[in-house]
Amino acid sequence: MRAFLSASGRLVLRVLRGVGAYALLAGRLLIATPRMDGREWLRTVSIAGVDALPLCLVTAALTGALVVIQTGFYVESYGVTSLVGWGAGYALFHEFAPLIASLALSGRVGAGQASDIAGLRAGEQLPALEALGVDIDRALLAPRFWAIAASVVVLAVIADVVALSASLLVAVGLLGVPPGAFLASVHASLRVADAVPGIVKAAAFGLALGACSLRAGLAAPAEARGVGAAARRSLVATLTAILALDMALTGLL
Amino acid sequence: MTRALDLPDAAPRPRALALAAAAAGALLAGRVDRAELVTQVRELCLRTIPVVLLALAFIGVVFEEHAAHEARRALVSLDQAGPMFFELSVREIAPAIAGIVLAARVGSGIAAEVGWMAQSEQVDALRLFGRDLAAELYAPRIAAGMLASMLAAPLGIAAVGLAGGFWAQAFSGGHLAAFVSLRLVTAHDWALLVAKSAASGFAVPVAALHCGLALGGTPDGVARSTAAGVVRGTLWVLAADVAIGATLWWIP
Amino acid sequence: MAPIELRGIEKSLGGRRVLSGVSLAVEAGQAACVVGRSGAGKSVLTRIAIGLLPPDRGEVFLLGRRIDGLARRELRAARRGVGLVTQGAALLGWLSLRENVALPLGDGFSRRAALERADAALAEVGAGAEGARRPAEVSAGTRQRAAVARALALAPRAVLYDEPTTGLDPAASRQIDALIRRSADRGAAVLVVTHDPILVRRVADRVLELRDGVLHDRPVVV
Repeated sequence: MRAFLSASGRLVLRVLRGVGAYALLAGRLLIATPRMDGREWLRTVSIAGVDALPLCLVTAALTGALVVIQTGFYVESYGVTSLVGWGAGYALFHEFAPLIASLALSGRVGAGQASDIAGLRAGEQLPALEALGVDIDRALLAPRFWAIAASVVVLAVIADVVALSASLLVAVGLLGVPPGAFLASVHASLRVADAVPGIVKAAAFGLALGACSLRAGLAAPAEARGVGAAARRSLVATLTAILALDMALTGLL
Repeated sequence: MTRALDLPDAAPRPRALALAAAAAGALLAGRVDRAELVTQVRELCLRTIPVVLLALAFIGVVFEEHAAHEARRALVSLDQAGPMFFELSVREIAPAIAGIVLAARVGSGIAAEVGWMAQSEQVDALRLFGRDLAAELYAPRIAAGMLASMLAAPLGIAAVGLAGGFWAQAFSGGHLAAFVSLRLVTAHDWALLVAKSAASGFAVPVAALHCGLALGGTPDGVARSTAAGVVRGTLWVLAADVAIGATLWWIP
Repeated sequence: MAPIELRGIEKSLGGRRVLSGVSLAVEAGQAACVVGRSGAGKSVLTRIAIGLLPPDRGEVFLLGRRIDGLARRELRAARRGVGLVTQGAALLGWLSLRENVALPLGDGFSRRAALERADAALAEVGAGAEGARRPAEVSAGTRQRAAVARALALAPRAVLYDEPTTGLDPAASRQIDALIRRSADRGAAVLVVTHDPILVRRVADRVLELRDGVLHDRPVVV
């Protein structure tokens, strides 16, 4: 009983410490944002967004295909071809595009940023710059944070388009749905407003991804092995945060 | 980084397919290092299954929310969607999400470990001493990965159904029993589940081993191989998912 | 008060007592070298002196201002006018040498003025021709000279060097020695932590040995 109490006490403390650390990081980033280094933002967008683009395109296309193969099963059973476009579009816009874009980025960009920051600490760049009076938050952390968040939103929109195109191809090729019927079903049942919850989700996932990867990089031990540890920790934290946010936001939107 | 152990034949790095073939050969012939297998099973299963359960419970609630929203819109009872929801979990949601979590957990674990071994020249040392890499390095990790995957998927199905069902009963006026109903689940669905789980369980460790060996020798190798291992693993899981889904489509 | 001053510093790391009662004052124009075996706590001493690590006990002064216990923002202000050079240069890999040197110049300068000042600082350490290159494209010696240029670009009144010549070939090390000596001759207080005996002989006005967590004065051998 005592062991259980002390274990749960430790867990509560750990959670509180984690929440406190994120709050502190968020505060630092927000204060630094108005005067952040624009060039570093642009550089990170070009790395984060462009690097992850091919991966995002492939995952989006596969997801689009997958959604149709699955809905197609029910379409075949109940003979409602006219609903394929709506089903695929709804599932992709509301759920899969933001989820896939942010999961793809969490592997490629989140882990990369975490190990990069950990590497800058292990290589003494961050302490050296701090000692020279450089505001790390403005020069490095805030620009990277916003660059990651912006990349996720843009990639989610691209993923929407690519995944829907892939669904169309699979619906036509595999299920034999006429392209006109698919598009008509998308057109009739999906409005621009249907894209909004997905984009809001993508923005939330992007902020979580930025915060988790930077925090993992800052919290890792400042030595060579810490670099790998940072990448792994960032992956797990991001995955948990994205799924939890997904649950909360689906209820709200 | 200077390499203390430069091999005369410039240490060939196996390609992913050759690695998969060597590992499959070792597994089929029973050439598996037992002690290492036990370590990997403990490590990978413990690392993966709780996260799969957590992830799928979240996903179960998310999908129930979507189902409830659509049911309200179409003025049908949420309980009609329950069995469909559970069938979809078996054939699609559980294997896909379990595969992605597997890629994140098992993939990152193996890629980081092997990347570190390659960077600190332990892999070169094993080769130099003529050890059987397929039996000692590849096969135990792949076998453990497959076991983790095959255990995670059925447990995950239960997590999706129970979480979605509890949520429906508590907040959307549905019934738990409808969300864990096997009424619509057919042999075809179970076949999809087994095929997808086996494919993820094999592909994720192979991708991670390959990335660890190929990128581990570079200065920032551990970080790069970890990220690349996860990304490749995720792609292979999704690709296998589409390929298996499309193949079984033609088989009634 | 001396530009770099430590009073009664105690510090334990990982349950081990690293510094037990270290006091030190480095005057303007003076170069003090701290020597000692690896793991004696020399780097911990530098980090405490510049506020990267808090001491367990004792007082730390930089340019006359007490810095232990300051918040990040105040600490950053207090470090204006202080330079640091670490082992292995610690430049950012994606910036050119001149951009690296310009980075700490920050607020007081427009970007163009900062880059001009960076070019001047690089020329001064003999790396003017390589300002447009990235750190990975130049030799370790040039990287280290760029790190010195970065530390000296703001004409600091106190400069700390943490193992500045470790890993450099003898010719590159001697160039760094000359730059360290020059910064002291221009009136800065210079604290060098090293185990390079030639550097100590060429640079030091004062030599201290860190042994068992305490500083001992040693005679300067010229």
